Amino acid sequence: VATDRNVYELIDEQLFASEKVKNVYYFQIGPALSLTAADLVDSYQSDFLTTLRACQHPSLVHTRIFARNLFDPAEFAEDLISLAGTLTGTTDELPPFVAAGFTLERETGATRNGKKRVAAGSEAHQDWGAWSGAFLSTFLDPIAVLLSDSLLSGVTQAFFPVIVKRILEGEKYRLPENLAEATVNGVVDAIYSSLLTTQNSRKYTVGE
Amino acid sequence: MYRKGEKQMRLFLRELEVLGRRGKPVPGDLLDFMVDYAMRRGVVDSLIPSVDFGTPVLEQEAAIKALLQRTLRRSGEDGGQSS
Repeated sequence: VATDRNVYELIDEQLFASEKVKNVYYFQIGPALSLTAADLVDSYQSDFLTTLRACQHPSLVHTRIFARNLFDPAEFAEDLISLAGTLTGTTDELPPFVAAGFTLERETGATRNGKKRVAAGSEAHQDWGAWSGAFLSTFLDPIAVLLSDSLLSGVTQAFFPVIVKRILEGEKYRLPENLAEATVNGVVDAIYSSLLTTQNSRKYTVGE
Repeated sequence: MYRKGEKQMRLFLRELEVLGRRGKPVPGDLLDFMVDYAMRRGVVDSLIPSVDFGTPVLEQEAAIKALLQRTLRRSGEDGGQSS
């Protein structure tokens, strides 16, 4: 992983069963590219969001995509959207704290592996706490491929998924604010669980 | 060197153990999906020492399916379910 390039945080905010659901990603810009946070917001929507929405119940709505440069507070971009999940052939959604779980496999030992929890699966696609094979192959496998792949800007590989190490300051962890203090790790693969997982921060009265 | 698909299959095997201990039925197409995944990624040989590049595809499929079924059944027979 290059250590001389900007790193962006991207937050995908969703509303589901009155709970605010967030997915946070980190991307490092490709070499010698002059792209911005606004380009990342566009790339995320064109390359990733359609595949993600395909596994989500229609009662979940993506409401805001926000990206910022970790090393430059002046550079940020947001897009207010209203895009629902597109999972078809389903009636009952699972609770907001039930999620499909992904692990981002790290390139080196500099950080821990990353995790992603995708909300709004459907009752029809699980049985006793395990996803059906059809759900895994049709929906989760394509998401896993994208989670470890770069986002395109046009035809250029533009934004590469990374894991960012947080810095312990006093008793709290924070993100790095400049290149010198940043530890950034590449993502070599994304693997997913065949079991339903839980995101406690999405439980009622916990988190936002 | 990191081999794509290998860790995924090892995770699937661990999760089959969990499902076996629960003693509940698994989705009917779950094992078929896992067999297909292992074949597509070409990682059967890393899970089963007796399989190598020269092993016919049908034999590889049968071997990986047997491993998955054994894992599920064995952990179920352990009686790991808590009361």
